Formats: sequence, C-alpha cells, structure tokens
Amino acid sequence: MSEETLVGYHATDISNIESIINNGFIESEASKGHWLGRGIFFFENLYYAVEWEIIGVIKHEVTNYNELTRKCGIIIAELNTENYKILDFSEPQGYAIFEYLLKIIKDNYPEEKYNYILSKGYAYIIKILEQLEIKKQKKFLSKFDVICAVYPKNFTKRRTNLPGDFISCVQKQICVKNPHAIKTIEELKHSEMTKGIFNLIKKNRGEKND
Amino acid sequence: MINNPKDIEEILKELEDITLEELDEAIKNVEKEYMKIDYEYEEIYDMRNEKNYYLSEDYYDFYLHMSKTNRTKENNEIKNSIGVAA
Repeated sequence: MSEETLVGYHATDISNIESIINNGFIESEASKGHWLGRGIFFFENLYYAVEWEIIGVIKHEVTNYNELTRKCGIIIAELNTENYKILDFSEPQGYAIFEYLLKIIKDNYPEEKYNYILSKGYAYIIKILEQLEIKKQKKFLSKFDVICAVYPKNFTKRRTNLPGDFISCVQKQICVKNPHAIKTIEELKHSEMTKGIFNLIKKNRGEKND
Repeated sequence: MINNPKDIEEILKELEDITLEELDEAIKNVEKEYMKIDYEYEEIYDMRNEKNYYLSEDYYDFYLHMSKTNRTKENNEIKNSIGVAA
C-alpha cells in the first residue's frame, strides 16, 4: 500500500512567516464558534488558502491587489499521517459517521428539523458529536489529531459589497488539533503558480478594488 | 492514518449506545450555542455595517473563531492571526 500524504496550505501576512517557520503556529483562544473547533487551519487547495487571507485583508481596507499579493505569505505543511490519527469527513469512511447520525435524526425528528440540521451541514453534526462526547465521557472526535471536512457552501448569502464570490468548488479544510501531527512546514515562495492564483483571485474578487 | 477503519467502527459502535434523550439534549445544547453565535453574528454584522462592510456568511463562519474571544485586541492582533488558529 502506498504511503498516505496530506498536505495543507495556510496563507497569512508575510511578516508572520518567519515566526511560524521558527516557532510553529501559535494557537489563539479556543472558540466554540468555529465549525471544526479549536486547531490550526489549513486548506487542501492553495487557491482557497490565499483567498481567505485576501478577504481578511480586504476588510481592513487594503484594496491594492499588488500590495495584497506582496503581503501574502504562504505556508505549506505536510502532516504525519503515519503516526497520527486523521478523520476525514469528506471521504466515505468518515462520512459514515455523519450518515449514521443523520439517519437517526431523520427517523426520529420532524422533517422540518431534519432539513434544518441537514442545511447546517458538517458543522452542526460536529457540534452534536462534541456534546455527546461531554455527555457520554467518550472520545468521538477527540481521539483524532486532525479533522478534515469540506466547507459547507451557503448558497443563500447576505448581500455583499465585497466584489466577487467564492468559486464554487470543493473547499476542504484541515483542522490540526495536535500540532505534533504537523510533520514539516516551509514557506511556499511566490512563483508562476502562486502568481496565477493571485491573478485568478484578483479577477474574481478584486477588479472593483483597483 | 486517515480514517482508520478501527477508529470509525469504534465510534459507530459507541454511537449505537446513544439514547434519543441524549441526542435530543445534545441537539438542544447545539441550538443554544448557535443562538449565541447568531447573536454575535449580528454584532459583528452591525459593526461591519457601520463601516459599510457586508461580509458573506462564509466569511462570518470563518471569522468568528478569531473575533469572538479576542475582539478587544482585534485591531492589534487580528491582522496577524487570520486563519492561524481557532
């Protein structure tokens, strides 16, 4: 069997890169609000990693895309899949957990409630699992060092004055709960590949900002 | 290992022991949490609205993890913490 690999991208202000390379990621306060819970977040796809960072900077009213590109640093991390436990909800084996809970809900709750929970996607079920962990004093999600899931798309969005929108594609996120599961991190230098991504984001998001 | 079948089987087996009452309680607690998030959602929304920003729900979901607990430090720290950790 070939060795499994899992690589994630994390974009941040370029000034953070050296510190992350030397000292690793710094975890801020945990929040109940985040959909995969506490952890260090990566995107499987470089495009979305960069786009999220750029959206974050746009809200600080920096709208010059050349400046945004210059300030955007990218970390590429390889995760240790050999020695750490990874739960990937986007694959059938992981999705089976969702499906199991959804079936119980479908069989026992009004259709309206089921549809509501279904509309909330992974985030809601993950939170149910967290609650059940507390109640049963068992490890469901907490037995894993890394959790991966596809970000739920909201097709009904609030109106936005941010230009453009996400390209509707699979937006898989990787939440590293145990930093030791990160095998290597290095800076991904800007290249023709990253230039192409910045240009695509600019086309999709930034034309009104120039 | 990604999706170790043994781990998945263990979880599914343990979930079989969950009673409907326990599931119901869990769902109610999640609802409470969502109500709290929705409240803060609006707070951020209003804050952004004042600045004439309308952020997508996608962004709210992602933004919450760094804004909820360190809001007062936002101006100083948020630029450096975006996406770093939840």
